[in-house]
Amino acid sequence: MRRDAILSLQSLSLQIADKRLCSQLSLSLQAGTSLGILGRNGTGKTTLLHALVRLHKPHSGHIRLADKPLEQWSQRELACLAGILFQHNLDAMPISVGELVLMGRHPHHTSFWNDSTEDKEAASAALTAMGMNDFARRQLSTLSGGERQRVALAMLLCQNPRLYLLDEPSNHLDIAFQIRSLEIFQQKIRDNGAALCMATHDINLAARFCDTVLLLLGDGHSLYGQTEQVLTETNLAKAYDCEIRKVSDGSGRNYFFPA
Amino acid sequence: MCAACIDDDTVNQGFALRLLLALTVLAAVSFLVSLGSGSIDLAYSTVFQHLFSSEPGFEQQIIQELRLPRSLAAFVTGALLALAGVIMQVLLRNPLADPYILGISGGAAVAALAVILLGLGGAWIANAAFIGAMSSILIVFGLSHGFGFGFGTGTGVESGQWSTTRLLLTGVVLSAGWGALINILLTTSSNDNIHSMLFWLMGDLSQSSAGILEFLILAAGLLLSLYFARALNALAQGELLASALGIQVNRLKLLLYFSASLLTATAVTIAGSVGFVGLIIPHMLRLAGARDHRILLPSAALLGGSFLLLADSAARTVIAPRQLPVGVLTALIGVPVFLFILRRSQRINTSPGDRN
Repeated sequence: MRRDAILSLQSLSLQIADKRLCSQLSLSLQAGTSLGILGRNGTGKTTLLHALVRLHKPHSGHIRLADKPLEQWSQRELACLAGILFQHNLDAMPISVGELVLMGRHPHHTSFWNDSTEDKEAASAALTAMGMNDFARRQLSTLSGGERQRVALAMLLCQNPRLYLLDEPSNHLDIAFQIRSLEIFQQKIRDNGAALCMATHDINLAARFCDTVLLLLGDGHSLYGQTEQVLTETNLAKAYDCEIRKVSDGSGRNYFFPA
Repeated sequence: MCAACIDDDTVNQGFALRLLLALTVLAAVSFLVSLGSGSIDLAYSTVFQHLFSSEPGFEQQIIQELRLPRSLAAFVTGALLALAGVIMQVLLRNPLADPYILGISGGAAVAALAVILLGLGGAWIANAAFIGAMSSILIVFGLSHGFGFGFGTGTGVESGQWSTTRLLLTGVVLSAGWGALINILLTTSSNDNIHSMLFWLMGDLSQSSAGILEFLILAAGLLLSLYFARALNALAQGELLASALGIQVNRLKLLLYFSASLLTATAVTIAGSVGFVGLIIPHMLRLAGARDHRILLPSAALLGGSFLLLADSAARTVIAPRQLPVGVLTALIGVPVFLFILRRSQRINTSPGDRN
């Protein structure tokens, strides 16, 4: 496995209006690994993801993406490097599933007019991976919430960035697809030397798929480290203000439940 | 379904070609109808015969000197408005947006009516309308600058939805202000002027002509928007998404605002505020399946132009030898046609056959 840092944060502070979301945050994310961001509502999970693609301006500190500071990438280069799954699916104007997924290729286009065979193959592969093969011609507005989430995930796969930023990837998904889709992304980051960063409310998904976890405590402070070290009953109780029980099944996998 | 589920059919190149071809034919037919109709009906063979002939004569004079300039003006106005409508609807991501929603026609109307009130005519009205439209564009830009449009590095998109709302509100409120001024001008003017003022407000082509400049502006607007067609597709799905796909959203919005505004100002200068074209032509085409802006933009220009040509032909013939303002006809023809298409597309979209 290559040990290049795809993402590194140095003393990053974020705030919205006067609310400090995180202060002096430093961490780095290596190729082939994934980071889970957990915390209560309004602790800054989404804002942090947005800051990583310049959709939110940090209060202070530095973000490096691959080998350059974030602000030095052009908008298009940035979109080739980092792709984001938004929490809210967009359906402002009518569009078909196939057209939307193909749109994921936008930053890679060389011609401003034609879709290359490569683009179409990437879109097909992404739809197939998400089990949406038969939906290519369907209107997005006729899909269920979970199906739309799968389309959004397929679009991100099609974008094929080196850093995947997922905001609540399990939203609306049935339990089988929650696991299946993250397995696909896990496979993808291992094969391509990419990295993944996901904000989630599902402690179990984070425990299962993330190498490191950032637990936002809501007062600007946070806990960061290896998943097993951060996800303890004490830490989670502190973060969520709620008793949480950790259960082990003996095979080394841990499960978390409210007590 | 096929193994490669994204094929040529998904991007619909065949559909695009068929649609553009059909619309080109429609535009040609509309020109013929427009040149042939009026207070004196001319057969299409006569139109053909005299359109390009240099042999002077009565028919040749009617066609080349009276009808052709007006037909060209009708076509270019319709094309400009439909194109501006497509761009405005994407910029504001609002299906109700039309080229006039941000107050451009209001500004133009106040200036044009003021000039009519002063007893000036012809080129004065057109120039005043253009100056009025440009002032309105700059006022809206100035007021919404800083929230509607941010210069700089591309941050600031996070407040995108709100900014668009602010831009829309600024424009709509300014429009209302212009409306009040228009009413003052109407109520204080003499009866002689009222008639020409009303014709201007409803949109009228009887005094219009369009030259090479107007067609150049149309061509420039079309080429520029086509260059950004893919970016428009993304922007239509939201500013955050467009930004995440590598589009410099603020720069694009600025460009869209000014190009749509200039197209609209040009149209208003030619024919006054012809309503409805900029609102329904884009929707008709979207309902017909042209959602991709690479197809939608040129189609809108062709269909908008043809539509106004036909509406103007009707305006000249319905109560001939008197003429109606073309703006009345755009609504009279447009409303039932649009409602029919809307109803039909609803049936298609909800039929079970479409589910897969």
